[in-house]
Amino acid sequence: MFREVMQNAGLEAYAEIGVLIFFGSFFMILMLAFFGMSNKEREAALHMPLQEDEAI
Amino acid sequence: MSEQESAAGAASTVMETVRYDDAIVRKFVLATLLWGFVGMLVGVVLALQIAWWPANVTQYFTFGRLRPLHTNAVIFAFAGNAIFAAIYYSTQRLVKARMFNDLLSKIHFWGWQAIIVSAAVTLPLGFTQSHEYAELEWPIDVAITLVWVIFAVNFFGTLRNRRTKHMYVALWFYIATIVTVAVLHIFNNLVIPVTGIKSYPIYSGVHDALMQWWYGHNAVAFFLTTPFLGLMYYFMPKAAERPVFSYKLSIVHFWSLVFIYIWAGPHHLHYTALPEWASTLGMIFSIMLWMPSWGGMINGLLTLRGAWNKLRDSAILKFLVVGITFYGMSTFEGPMLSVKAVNSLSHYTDWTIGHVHAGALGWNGFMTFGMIYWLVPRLWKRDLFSEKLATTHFWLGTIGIVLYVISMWTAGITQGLMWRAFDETGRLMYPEFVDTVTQLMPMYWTRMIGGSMYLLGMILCVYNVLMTVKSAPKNLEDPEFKVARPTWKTASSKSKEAMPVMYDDMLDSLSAKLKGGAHRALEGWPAIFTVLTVMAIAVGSLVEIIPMMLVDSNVPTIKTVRPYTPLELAGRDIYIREGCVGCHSQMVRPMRDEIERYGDYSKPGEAIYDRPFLWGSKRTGPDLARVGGKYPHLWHVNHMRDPRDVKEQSLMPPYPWLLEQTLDTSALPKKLEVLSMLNTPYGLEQIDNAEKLAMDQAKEVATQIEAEGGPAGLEDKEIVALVAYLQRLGKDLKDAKMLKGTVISETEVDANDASNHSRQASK
Repeated sequence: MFREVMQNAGLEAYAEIGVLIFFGSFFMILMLAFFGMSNKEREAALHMPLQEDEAI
Repeated sequence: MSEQESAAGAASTVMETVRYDDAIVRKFVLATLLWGFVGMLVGVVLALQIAWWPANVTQYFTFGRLRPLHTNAVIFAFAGNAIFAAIYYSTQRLVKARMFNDLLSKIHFWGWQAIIVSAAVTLPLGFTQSHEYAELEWPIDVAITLVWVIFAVNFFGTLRNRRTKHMYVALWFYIATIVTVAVLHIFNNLVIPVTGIKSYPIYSGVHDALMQWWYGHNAVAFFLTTPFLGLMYYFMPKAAERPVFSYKLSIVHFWSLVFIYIWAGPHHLHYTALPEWASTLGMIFSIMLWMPSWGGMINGLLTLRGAWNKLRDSAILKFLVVGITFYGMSTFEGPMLSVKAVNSLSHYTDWTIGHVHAGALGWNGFMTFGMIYWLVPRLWKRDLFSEKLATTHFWLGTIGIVLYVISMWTAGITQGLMWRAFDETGRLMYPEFVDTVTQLMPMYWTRMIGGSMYLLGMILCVYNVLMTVKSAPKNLEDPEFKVARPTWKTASSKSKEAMPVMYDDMLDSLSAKLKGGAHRALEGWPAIFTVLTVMAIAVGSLVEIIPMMLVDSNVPTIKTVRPYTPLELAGRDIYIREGCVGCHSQMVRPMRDEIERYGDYSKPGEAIYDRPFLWGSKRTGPDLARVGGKYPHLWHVNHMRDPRDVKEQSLMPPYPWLLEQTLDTSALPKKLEVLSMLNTPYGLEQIDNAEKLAMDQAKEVATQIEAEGGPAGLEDKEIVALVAYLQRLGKDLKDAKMLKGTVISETEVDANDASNHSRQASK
């Protein structure tokens, strides 16, 4: 349906490019989120707001 | 920044002293409370005005003029000051550095308050651009831009001075907020000034509508969602004393949210004259948006895993948890309302009002209160005056929201169904629009009670905070902390010096940086992170806006559509000044009941001279797109003087001053000149004689009113301009039909558009 809608409006190329960008971005986010990070780094990231500094 | 160095701890760790600027946070917290009270009080007044029209007192405090004051006050003053408080407090602690520049912080604070005050003065006076949530006129828009740039410099300067290598997830959301709001504000407020307080947008009609709702929806996204998510990611773990549930989920949440959100704007324009492709695109991305939104909600709520018992005793956690739950409810309801079939029922009704307030009162309000109750004892170094009052505030607020939201859902669905109801003979069951409004009265009173309860809770909060502040030490100094001097900055600069510029070495360096994970590396590069965020929001924006602006077939022109006469233009500006668009749409959707009730559905080409577009988003009164010629002039005069004269049950406030105030035509030549610059075909002669042309037409209208038995001597009064404008609405299309050519396209490409709309109409 999406393709048909865009085709009727003469915007097929935009739709195709849009879909490519969408899936490319989606894939990139997954790669960024799920690969390469060590548990130590992840724990450090999670605890950042809880690290209290020493008050003077 | 005053910082002392001292060697302490282990020999390898050099400790530094840092003083956080909490004075600025205290200011923003107090401003949040002040403007929250004002904005919500105006909201309750508006609820009363809908339920009981005599509450519209004087021309400066009618519903039409107060509504934008309410929305601006609660969004930019209440929520705005709250997010600045959150950002200034949490950023300093997350990066272990004082704000970049104290003077910039102060200019930001006082500049923002000055903008709010100027909004509170100009909106009741009727100075408005008539774009929802972007009503403020151009000089204030310029001030907003300057203050926002100062805020951005201060924020990014603080990131540059950070002592932690990586940016926590809250900071990602703050970055997205700052850059996206800047982009939205600038592009939606591109106008040509006419006078010091009046302007016309560079976009017209369909283009203006797309830009406005690209802005409008993303103001919700990047002013009321992303900064509050940042707030959630910082204050929820603090209050729960637990780390956030999932780091991976926060990565997916952030990137998918900023990428998808920006596309969703066109769902505000379903079944309007916006091309169907744009509307469909908006719907598809709105549905996709459900997933990242709920990812964020789950991440927030499950932060409390293993500690749900704390909810029993902590008013702060009650506010935060219920706030996040309302976020989940609103972000489910939003995609649902964006589905065209649902939207055809809900749009223009109170269902949308209920949806908006579930988000605003539940998510934004409760997250703010949770944050304030957590912050106040820390900022003023005193325990909260009364935990019990805070808990009472929570229950008052919760019951208030439930009453508000349920009454508006009921009102919306009731009215939507009444609009489309046909009897067995195929006629509209409720042909009188006012019948579909009076039916809602019990719901309007219930809404007012709910809103009043929420306001009462707000008053308790103000009292609680003020009593806490009263008992605080007189001289509150900035807190001092010992923090480790960052080793990564010096290591990085040393390695740069030592490293010969060779390809292999560069790769080695990059792989060392990526060792902790690609995204972890990205969190250490604020500039690249910001660029990627801009790219994420740019994709959706450009894919929607560029074809809309460049492809002519999106807006087929209609030969009979002419620019407004000078008098009609003056009348249109009065219509804008009085905020009529807050209750009346000018957009007949291609649905059987709407065509039956109002007339032919609206075409994109009809609005090409409309700057700004006035399609509206709510119908407390009937649509006016086809009102031209429907009633005699005198009917409009009587209606404006006292709507009860012509419709006994009407809720509309009276506008007697329109019959008394002299029409000011002095700016008309300049107005026509500006519109002419924007391609409205006004000739030089028309521009030069604009005032005379207006007065000539005014005499004709006034004579007609007198002939119909109305009062004499109205030819120089504002009412004649408004009547001229209202009588023009929809006339161009009627003229087109009389030509038997029906809707004629100059570009010969409107056939697709017309057939699309016809198909929808036949459905």
